Amino acid sequence: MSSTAPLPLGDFSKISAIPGVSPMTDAQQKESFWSSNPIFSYLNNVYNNIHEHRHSLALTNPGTIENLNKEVSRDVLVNQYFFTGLRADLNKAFCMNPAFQTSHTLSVGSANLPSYAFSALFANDNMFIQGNVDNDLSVSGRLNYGWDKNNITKATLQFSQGQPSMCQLEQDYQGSDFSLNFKSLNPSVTSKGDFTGVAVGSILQSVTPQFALGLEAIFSRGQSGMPADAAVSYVTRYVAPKQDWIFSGQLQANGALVASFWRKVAANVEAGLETSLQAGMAPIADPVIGTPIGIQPIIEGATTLGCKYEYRQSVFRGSLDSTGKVSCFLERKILPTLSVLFCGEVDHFKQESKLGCGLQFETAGSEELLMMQQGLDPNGNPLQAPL
Amino acid sequence: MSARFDAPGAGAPAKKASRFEQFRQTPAFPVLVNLSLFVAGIAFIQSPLMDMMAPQL
Repeated sequence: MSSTAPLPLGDFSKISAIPGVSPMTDAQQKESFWSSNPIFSYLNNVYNNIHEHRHSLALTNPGTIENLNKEVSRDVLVNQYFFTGLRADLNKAFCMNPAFQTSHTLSVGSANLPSYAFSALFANDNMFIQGNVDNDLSVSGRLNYGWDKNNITKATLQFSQGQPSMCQLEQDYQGSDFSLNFKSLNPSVTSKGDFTGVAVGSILQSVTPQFALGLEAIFSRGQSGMPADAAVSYVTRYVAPKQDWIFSGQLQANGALVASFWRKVAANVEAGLETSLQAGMAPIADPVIGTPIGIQPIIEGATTLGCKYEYRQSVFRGSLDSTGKVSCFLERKILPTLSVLFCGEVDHFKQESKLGCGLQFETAGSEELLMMQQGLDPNGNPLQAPL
Repeated sequence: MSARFDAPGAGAPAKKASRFEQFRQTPAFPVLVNLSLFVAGIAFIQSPLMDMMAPQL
């Protein structure tokens, strides 16, 4: 019988390991119970593998569903900017950082714009607050707060006479390759625990560095006790590798199909195209008596082609659509503090036309801004363009 | 029987609509027209014609 050395019971580090069992590595020793136990360890491994695979795809954030066809519908097409009658905007900027600006808008002969509206805006690095009030005592306000670079909370309130008030709460999350958005319009929970209002959840996920797919789910219940309504919309967006053209498509839950295409033709020229098809039901009237005798499916569609020319002192937008409308919007800066707006629309099929003219005054609320408007720095020297 | 007792609109014999007129009444017509306009619009925007409309500053 061979003699063996006595076990060093006082010092555990000298006890040899059991064959087949390796000691814990430094990284494993740092892990807590929740990450080192077999179940969570397995789940963590799966998550890490998926995360690494997603990183290897080099995906980028696809933007939000709200801005899916922003380049066409908000930047190029005239609709967002169009007004009728006469209009004057008096804007006064008090400071740039944080930004504080007030605006008075006067309008005559417009069906949509109020006769007078006042708005104030405050913005700093994390927050954006805007408030509007008009001569009909319709009040609206917006608050955006960025908790960090990925999380933004938005709140919108609107009160107007003769119309139900509106409150919208929104949370935006921008991931590395996806965007999440949760929105609720007039949310309320009754004593029975029923949710009333509108709740919207949406996700837009990049599938390849250029291509993104998304969906939006809507749940709504008008009144407690009424049956709820739910619907899903599908969206897609493709950005060309050179980012010189973008295609986006939406199949909305209300039966609308919207497709848009945008191209940057030159440094100062953009072109956009938008087609929308809306499915619906129309009543069939009896040809003799005129009473409805049934319903039939109908599809209405419109295609709009637009372009935007952006020069140093003016911006021109023009559009042409399949319903016979030709419209344009011109904004020209005459002086550093004065711009002229002109818009016109001719509906060739209905033989109608609309016209709008406006002036926009930009005044400075501080000496520094006044100097900047005149192209001078605070010391009175000409501003130099950054090299 | 006198024509004065006829139902309104029933006097004239109904003309048979052409095949195109029949197709125009179907929901497929606006779909086809707008999709064709969309494709034609993309072709126009991507064509050298659009490049020529950009000012050479």
